[in-house]
Amino acid sequence: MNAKLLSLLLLLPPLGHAADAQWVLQQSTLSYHVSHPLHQTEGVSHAAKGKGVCHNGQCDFLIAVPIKSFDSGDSNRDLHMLQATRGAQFPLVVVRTRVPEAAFKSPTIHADLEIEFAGQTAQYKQVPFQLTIQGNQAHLSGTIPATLADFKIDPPSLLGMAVKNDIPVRVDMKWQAQ
Amino acid sequence: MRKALRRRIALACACLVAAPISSFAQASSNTMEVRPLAAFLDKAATESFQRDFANAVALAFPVPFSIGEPTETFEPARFEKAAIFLAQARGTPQPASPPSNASPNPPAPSLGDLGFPAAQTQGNAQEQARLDRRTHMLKIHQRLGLITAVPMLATVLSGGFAGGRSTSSSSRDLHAALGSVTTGLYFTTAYYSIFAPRVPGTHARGPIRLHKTLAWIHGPGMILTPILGAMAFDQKSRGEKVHGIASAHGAVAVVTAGAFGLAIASVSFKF
Repeated sequence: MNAKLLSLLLLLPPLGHAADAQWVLQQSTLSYHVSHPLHQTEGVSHAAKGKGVCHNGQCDFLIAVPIKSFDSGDSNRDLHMLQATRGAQFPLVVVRTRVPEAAFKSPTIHADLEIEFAGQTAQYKQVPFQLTIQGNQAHLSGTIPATLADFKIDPPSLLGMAVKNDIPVRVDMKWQAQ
Repeated sequence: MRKALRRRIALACACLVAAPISSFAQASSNTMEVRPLAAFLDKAATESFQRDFANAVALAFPVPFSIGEPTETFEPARFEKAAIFLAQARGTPQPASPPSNASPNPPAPSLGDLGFPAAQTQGNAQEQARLDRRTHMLKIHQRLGLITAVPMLATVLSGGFAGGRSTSSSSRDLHAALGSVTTGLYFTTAYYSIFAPRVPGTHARGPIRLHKTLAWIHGPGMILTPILGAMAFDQKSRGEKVHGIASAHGAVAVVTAGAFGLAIASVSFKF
């Protein structure tokens, strides 16, 4: 009996730290939209990297993307964006979220996001994402209702007119289960 | 010999078992309490295990076991103290919150797991300062460019009254004065663009390329126009008809103003 107990106890620590599943971001398209009375601008990045670790029915996800990687098709605008968002000092946008594993069965996930950007951290509650799972792959898409004020970014202006405060970020990601 | 071997085995088992057990030690109401995996062990098995464990630890660590009163029989308090001691000896921090039956979570993913190169994750205050200075200078460039457009337009319009036979010297003077103001503002505007810090590794893409290309037209135009204007002014002041290269003053000025206007439009409107 004692030998069995010892065996059980010796096995417990490694089992306790094992993750149930891991997800790796395979492909992504993130795009922010900026509105100006004279311009509608989209900046797109495909350089995001992400990882998810699931355990005890909860999955922790981390996604990061270099601010420099966003391309609006205008190098001058991208450099202004980099400056306005303090992108040289805080080069990454980092998104963290915890999602119950059970939520993967639903076509829509409502995620609480914590976003670090421009040296500030903002929380977005219950952001809806569409989810499609095919085999080991998950396709996630949705829009994060970000604003400049959330990250204390002064709205850039052109011809004396400032851009709108809303900068919705469209997310389209393909995750691979490991 | 056999007894010594059994002691060694008991010691080894005690050390190995102490690792998971120690994580169940906790502070609670000034007393240290151990929750001996009671969720899935029956009482008899637990007591048996505790007794064996305590004996093994007593053999291995005689000193810490003198914390309590020396007795031959097993006491839960001694078992707890032994577990706590082992946890401290291992440098394992004791959990502040009550442990649950669930096994501990694996660490949440960190930035290091994502594989970004260090250069992409570390902030650079110097680079940010360079960007700030660049933006500051280009904002001034933008404002001055818009301001310059006003006297430039006025100069072009007043040019229509400065030439020809029926012109007075006052309209020529006004035109010349507006031209001088335009020239001064123009080169100040250009200064803030030319001397704005460059960001290494960036190549011009998009409307800014047209904006920069047009500078090769309005830049030389803004050098040539005042020179030709001064020549025409002198000829006119001497009562001569404007002739020679000075007669190109109007055409050069219109092309220059057109290129300047287009340069503003190229970065202001989406085509």
